[in-house]
Amino acid sequence: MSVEPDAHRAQPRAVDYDDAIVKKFIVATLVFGVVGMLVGVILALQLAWWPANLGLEYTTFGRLRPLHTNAVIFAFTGNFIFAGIYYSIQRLLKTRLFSDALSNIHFWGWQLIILAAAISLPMGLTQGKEYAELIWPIDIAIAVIWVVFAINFFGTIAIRKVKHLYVAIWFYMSMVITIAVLHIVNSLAVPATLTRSYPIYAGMTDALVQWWYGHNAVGFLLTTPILGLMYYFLPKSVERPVFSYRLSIIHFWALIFLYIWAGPHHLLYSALPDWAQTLGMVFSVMLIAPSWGGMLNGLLTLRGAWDRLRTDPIVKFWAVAVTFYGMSTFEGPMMSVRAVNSLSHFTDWTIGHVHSGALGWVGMAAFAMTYWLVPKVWKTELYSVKAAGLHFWIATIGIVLYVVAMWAAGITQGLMWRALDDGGQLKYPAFLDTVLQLMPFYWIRLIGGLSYLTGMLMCCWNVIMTVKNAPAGDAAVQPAVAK
Amino acid sequence: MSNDANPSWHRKALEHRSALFAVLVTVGISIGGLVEIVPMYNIETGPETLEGVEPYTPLELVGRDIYVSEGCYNCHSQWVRPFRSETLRYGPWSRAGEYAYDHPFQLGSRRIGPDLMRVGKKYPDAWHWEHMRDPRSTSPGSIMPPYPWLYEKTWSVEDAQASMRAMQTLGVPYSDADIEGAGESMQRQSQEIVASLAKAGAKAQGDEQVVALIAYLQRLGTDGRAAIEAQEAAQ
Amino acid sequence: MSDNYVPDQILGHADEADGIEEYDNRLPRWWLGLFLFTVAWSPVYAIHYHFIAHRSQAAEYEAEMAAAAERWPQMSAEDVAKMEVTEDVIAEGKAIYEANCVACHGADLHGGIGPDLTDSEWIHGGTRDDIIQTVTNGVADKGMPSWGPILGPEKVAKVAAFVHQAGGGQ
Repeated sequence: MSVEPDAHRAQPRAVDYDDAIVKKFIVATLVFGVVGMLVGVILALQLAWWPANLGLEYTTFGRLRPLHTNAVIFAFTGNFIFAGIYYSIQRLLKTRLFSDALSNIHFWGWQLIILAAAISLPMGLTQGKEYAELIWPIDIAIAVIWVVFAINFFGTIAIRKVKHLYVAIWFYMSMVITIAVLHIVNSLAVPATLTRSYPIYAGMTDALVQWWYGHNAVGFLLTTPILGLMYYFLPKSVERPVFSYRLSIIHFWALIFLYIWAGPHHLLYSALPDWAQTLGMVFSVMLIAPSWGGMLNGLLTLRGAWDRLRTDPIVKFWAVAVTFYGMSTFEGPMMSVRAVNSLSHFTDWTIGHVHSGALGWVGMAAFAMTYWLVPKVWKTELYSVKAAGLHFWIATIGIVLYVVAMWAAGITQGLMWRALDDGGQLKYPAFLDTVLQLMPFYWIRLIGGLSYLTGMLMCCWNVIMTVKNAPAGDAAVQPAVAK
Repeated sequence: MSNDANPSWHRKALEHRSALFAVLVTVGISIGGLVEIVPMYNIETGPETLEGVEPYTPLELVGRDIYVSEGCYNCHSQWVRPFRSETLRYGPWSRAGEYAYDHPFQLGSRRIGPDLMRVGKKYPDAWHWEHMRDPRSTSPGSIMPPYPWLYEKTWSVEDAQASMRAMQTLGVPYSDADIEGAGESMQRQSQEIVASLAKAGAKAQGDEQVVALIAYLQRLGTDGRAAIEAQEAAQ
Repeated sequence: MSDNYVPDQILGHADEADGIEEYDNRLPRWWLGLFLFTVAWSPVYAIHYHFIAHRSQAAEYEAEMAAAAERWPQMSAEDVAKMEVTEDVIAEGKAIYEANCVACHGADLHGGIGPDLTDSEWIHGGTRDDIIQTVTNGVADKGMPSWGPILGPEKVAKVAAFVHQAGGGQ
C-alpha cells in the first residue's frame, strides 16, 4: 500500500480535487455502518430472546427492522457509494466536482434524511412497504436530494477533461438514473395526513411495483454502483489492468437491461398473474452470466496479484467481496426457480441470501475501498495494516457463521412447513414448533453478526488512528465531523 | 482486437456521448418495468377480481393503519400459497381480488410468525385481546413482543375520515355518506367487540387502538373465503 | 475476434481512466456458453409452461389436491358418521387439535380463552356427537368459531374423537 499509484500517470496532477466531501462521506459511512449493524445485532437478539424487545413501542422488532434495513442500505451503503463516486469521478474525468455547493447540499441533505428516518421509523411512522418505509415528506426530500446529486454527477461529466467515459462511470450512471425512476414511481401516494399516505397502487399491483422497486434497489444501489467502484478501486489497489474491456461492455448492458425484469421472483406462487411470475423467474436465470461477468472481471484482474493476497488486506477484502458477489448472484437465480422458491420463500434462507450479498459483497467492498481511500485522502499511511488483516478474518468468519446458520434455519423451517405424516396431514401443525426449532441457529447468527460488527468497529478505530496521524493541515476540518 | 488506433464500436459510438449514453441507459432500464407494470391495468392480463370483496369499515381501516405502523408485515405474511401444505394449515390460497382495497399491500416476505391471511374469525375477539397484551398467555413459547401501548392509546374518528378521504381519491368506493357516518359506524363496531370481550371477562372501553386492530384482524380474509367458497360451490 | 488474437494486450485507454489500464481479453468460452444457454432456455421454458403444457399455479394446486385425495381418500359423509375411533383417528385428531384448538383450549386441554375440556362439566354436551355439533357450528355467543366450514366433516369428527377421548367425554 505504500506504492504511489499515481506514479505512472501520463499527466501530473493539476486539478484541485475536492477531497473534503469525500472525507465527509467516508466518516458518515463508518458512523452509519456501526449504527445499522448494531441495530441488526439487536434484531438478531430479539429473535433469539424476545425480551430484548424491551417492552417499549419504539424498540419492537416490527419497528426496528425497517430502521436496520434503511440504515444499512441508504445510510451505510449510500454514503459509501457517494464517497467512492465523488473520489473516483474527479480522477476519471480529470476535473473537480461540478459544484461544491451541490456536493455539500447532497451530503447534509442525505444525513438529514437519515436522521429523519432514524426518528420516524421507531415512532411507527411508515408507509409499510419494505425498503420504502419512509413517510411521504421524507420521500420528497429523498427525491430532491437525489436530483441534486444527479445534477452534480452529470454536471461533472459535462465539464470533464477527458473524452471517453470509463466503465466505472457507466455503472454509476445506471444507478443515478434508475434509483430516481424506482424511488419516484414506487413512492407515488396520496397523503391522508402529514405523516401517513397510501400508495396509488392497490393490492397485487402495489406488490408488483414494490418488488420491481425492492429488487432493483438491490440491483442498482447494492450492485451496479459497487461494480463501478470495483472497476475503479480494485485495479487501483492491485495496480493491474482490468481483465476484459469487451466483457465490461457486454455484462454492463446485459445486467442493467435484464435486472429490471426480475422483481416478480419475490412474488412466485402469489396472486400475481402467472405470466408475470414466469418473467420474474426467467429473467433472474438470465442474470447469472451478466452478474458473473462482473465477478470474472474482478477476479481475473487480480491475476498476477495473487502473491499480495497473503499480505495485503485490501486485496483480501476485494477477493472475498467479488467471490461473495458471484455466490449470491448464483444463489439468487436459483431461489427464483419456482421449485426452489416454494421451499425457500418466507424462510431465513432469504435472509441468509441477502446477507451474503450485503455483508459479503457490499460490506467487504466498502472495507476494501475504505482502507485504500482513507490514507489517500488524508495523505498518510494506514495506521495498522495488521488490524485491517484481523478485521478481514473476523468479518469473514462472521459472514460464514451468519450465512450457514440461515441456510440451516431456512431449509429446516421450509421442510417442517411442508412435512406430512403418514395420513397426509401436517406433521407440524403447530406453527410455533417450526419457530422454536430455529433458536440454536438464531444464536449462531447472533454470534456471526457480532463478529461482523466487531470488525466494523476495528475499522473505525483504524480510520480514527490513521486520521489522527495525518498531516495537520488536511486533518484540521475533520474532527468536528468525526464526532 | 481493438486498441487506441482501432477503437471498438462502443467507444466510437457511445463512450464520449454522455447524453446519448444516459438516454440508452434510461431506455434499457425502462423496458422491463413497463412490460410488467402496464398490463396490470388491463382486465385481461392484470390481477383477477373477486366478487364479494368489500372495502374495510372505518374501524378496520384504522386497525389496518396500526398493523402497518407496528410493522406486523415484518414477521407475518398475508399470502397463502397454492400448496396443499399451506391450505391445510391456513385455509384457501390467496386470490388477487382479495387484495383489491389494500393500500399498501401487506403480503409480507418472511414468516417469523404464521400467515394471517385467514386469521379473520379463526379465534374469538378475547383471544386477540389476550394475545396482543401477552402473546405467551395464548401461545406458550411465542417469540412475539407484547403490545401494551395499544391498550392505552386511542383511535380517532378524524383519523379514519382522513384515511377514507385519501382512499376515496384512490378509487376505493367510500361514499361521502360513509365518511360522514364513520364515527357512528366505528362506535357501533367497537361496541360489538367490547360486548364480545365482556362475555369473556375482558373489560374494554372500545376506543383503545387494540380494538381497532382486532376489528381488522377479524376481517382478514373473510370476504375472500366466502367468495372463494361461493365460487367453488357454483362450479 | 480475429485469428491473430493475443491475450493480455493493453488497450491504451489509461490516460482517460486515471491510469487504469484495460485488457481486451476474449470472453471466457464457458461464460459465453452459460449466457447463451440461459437466454435460449428462458423463452423455451416460458413458451412451454404457458402455451404447450398450459401450466398454471391454480391447475398445479388442483393436481396436488387430486393426488392427495387419491392417496389419502376422503371419507364420505356416511363413512364419517359410522367412523370407528381407532388409534390412528385419535392421532389425526390430535394433530388437528394442535393446529387449530390449542390457541384457546390449551395444549393440555385445560382451557384458556376457551373452557377446560378435561373437567367433568360439558357446557354444550359431552357425547362425541355433541362435540361434533359444537365444533361444527361454534358457539357464536362465546366467541367459538364455526369450524365446520374450515375443517370439513371428516376433520371435525376426528378432532371431536380426540377431544372426547382425551377430555374424558361421556
